[in-house]
Amino acid sequence: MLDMALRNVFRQKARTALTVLGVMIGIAAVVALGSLSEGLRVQITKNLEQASGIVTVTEKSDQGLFVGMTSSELSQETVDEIMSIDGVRDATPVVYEVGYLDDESLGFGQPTLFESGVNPEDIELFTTEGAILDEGEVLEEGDTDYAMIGYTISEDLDLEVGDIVTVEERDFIIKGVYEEFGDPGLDSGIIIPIEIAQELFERDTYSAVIIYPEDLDEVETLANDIEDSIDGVSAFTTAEFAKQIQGIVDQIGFFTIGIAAISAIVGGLGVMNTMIMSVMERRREIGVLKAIGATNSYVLRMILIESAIISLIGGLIGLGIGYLGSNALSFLTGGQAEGIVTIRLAVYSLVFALFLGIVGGLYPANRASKLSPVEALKYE
Amino acid sequence: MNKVIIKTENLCKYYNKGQHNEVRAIDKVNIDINRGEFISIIGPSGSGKSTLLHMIGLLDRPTCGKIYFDGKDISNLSDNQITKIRREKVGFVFQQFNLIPLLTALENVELPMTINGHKEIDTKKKAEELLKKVGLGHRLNNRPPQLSGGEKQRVAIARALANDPEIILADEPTGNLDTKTGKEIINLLRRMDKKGFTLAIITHDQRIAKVAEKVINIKDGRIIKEGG
Ligand SMILES: Nc1ncnc2c1ncn2[C@@H]1O[C@H](COP(=O)(O)OP(=O)(O)O)[C@@H](O)[C@H]1O
Ligand SMILES: [Mg+2]
Repeated sequence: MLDMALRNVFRQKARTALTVLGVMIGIAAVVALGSLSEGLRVQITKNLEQASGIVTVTEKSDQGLFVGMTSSELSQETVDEIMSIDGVRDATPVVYEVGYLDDESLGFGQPTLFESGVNPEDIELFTTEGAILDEGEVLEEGDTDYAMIGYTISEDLDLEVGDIVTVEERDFIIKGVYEEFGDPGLDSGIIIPIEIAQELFERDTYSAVIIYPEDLDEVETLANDIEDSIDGVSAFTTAEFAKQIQGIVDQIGFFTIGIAAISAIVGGLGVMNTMIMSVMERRREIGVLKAIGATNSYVLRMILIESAIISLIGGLIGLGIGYLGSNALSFLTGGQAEGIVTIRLAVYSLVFALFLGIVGGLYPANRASKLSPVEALKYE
Repeated sequence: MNKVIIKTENLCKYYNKGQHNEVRAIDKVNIDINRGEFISIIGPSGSGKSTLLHMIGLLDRPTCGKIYFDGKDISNLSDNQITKIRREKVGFVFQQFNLIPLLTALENVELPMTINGHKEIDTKKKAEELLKKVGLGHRLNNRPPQLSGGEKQRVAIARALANDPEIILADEPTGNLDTKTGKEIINLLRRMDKKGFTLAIITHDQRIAKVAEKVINIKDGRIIKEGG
């Protein structure tokens, strides 16, 4: 039956090709857009593993750490208070700004630059003890004219140790370049001494304090203690952070995949339309099949297999195109949006394609199976 | 085994029943078809011959009356049960040949066996044997469009024989063929008939009707004459 279904599918080559195309476009969109949210998810999970057990304290904010950090202004007194609280193993204040690279040669997709001011001796704490130097050295006390840069920046601007990088019209000599880390905050980041950052951005406040607890199991308690005992601050743990980001990523994913899924559903309607036409054309043949002993369910299965074949071919090609599209998106955004076609995404999109084919095939298959053989045999 | 393979009792088929355009395609027909018999059904066009053949071949259900197939009343059987009996015991041959154009001669003959699903049968070998028997051993892998009318009808006969039916029902099998080819087809069917099949042929051809053991003459859905 599979053999015969395949032959039936390829009987009307142009029509089948168009139908396959319809499913393909939808599934390609699902895969390409889905890969972006999978990419984000994978990246976040990786970062969180590296950054587990950290408390980040900012000025009081209802908008979560992400937004909170960019507008946060902590005074020197507050920072001193935070750092002296019980249960803190290490702590370091950070100045944090988001800018854009002033490089016209980059054109569209100019990468964002995450500018961080950190105490040189605390850089290890800032990079969550996980970043590896690719070349050069880590900043030291007194390196006022030096900066460290992340992987993406060094690639995009073609910079290496000893080159000059300009931030807010001030030149820095690159002292160290990090290996790819997986977090845009570091990969697309530049690290300069904290006093210099304050000078540059004309502020005497800090954005956040990064805290390592003495006891990893007491992260939540420590965060609560800080919020309770110090006025006007919010303390975020990695777990909370993870939840927030995951929520945002899920929303983005849901929305984009939802839009793509609609186009795939349109593809499924195409399968239905094609199969309705195919059944009409083959009425007589279906009558013959019944006359020589095919049951209703045999005819039903035959039509369903045909529509499943069409949608599965569309799904497979769509998966391939979506994979290429995902890479193209990563390339166009300069690696800022990294798409990953996970096995889960691939399997889901193929199952979705198959589902569309079978659902789209149900109506024509049911109609075909209920055809009266005598009536069907009368058609030319 | 019953001597009578098909028996009808007041069999009828009304289209658009009770409406102003009611058609009594078959109206209160009583016939007995004996095992091994060669019957021909004659009558003017539109008299109800095909309708009768479809009902006794279990392809269509009557609007009233009864059909006994091998002694068994089939009116209370489900569609699936009826399909199974038809598949195993009835072979159809049509005027339009009705082969599946996508399949080769061999595959067309295999199809009823595949649908029947008896795994132990070597469908390919059996289809080949049947095609040889109808004189098409050299045309196994040709598709219907490449075959002549007579060849198509031979394939159709081989297909009708595929599941070793007890009765073959042929609806104007020579209607689309020239006289010479038509004669060959009838001879082929009759040779099968000698091997114990029951054979019923609808025909306009008086010469065929003459050689039949029994002739059923239909007009306006009723039997007007029955004899041998
Ligand atoms: N689906 C149908 N609806 C209404 N009338 C029909 C239908 N099928 C057949 N008929 C009528 O039933 C009568 C018998 O048809 P048929 O059995 O095909 O005749 P024959 O085979 O003897 O030429 C004809 O008058 C035909 O028009
Ligand atoms: Mg007829």
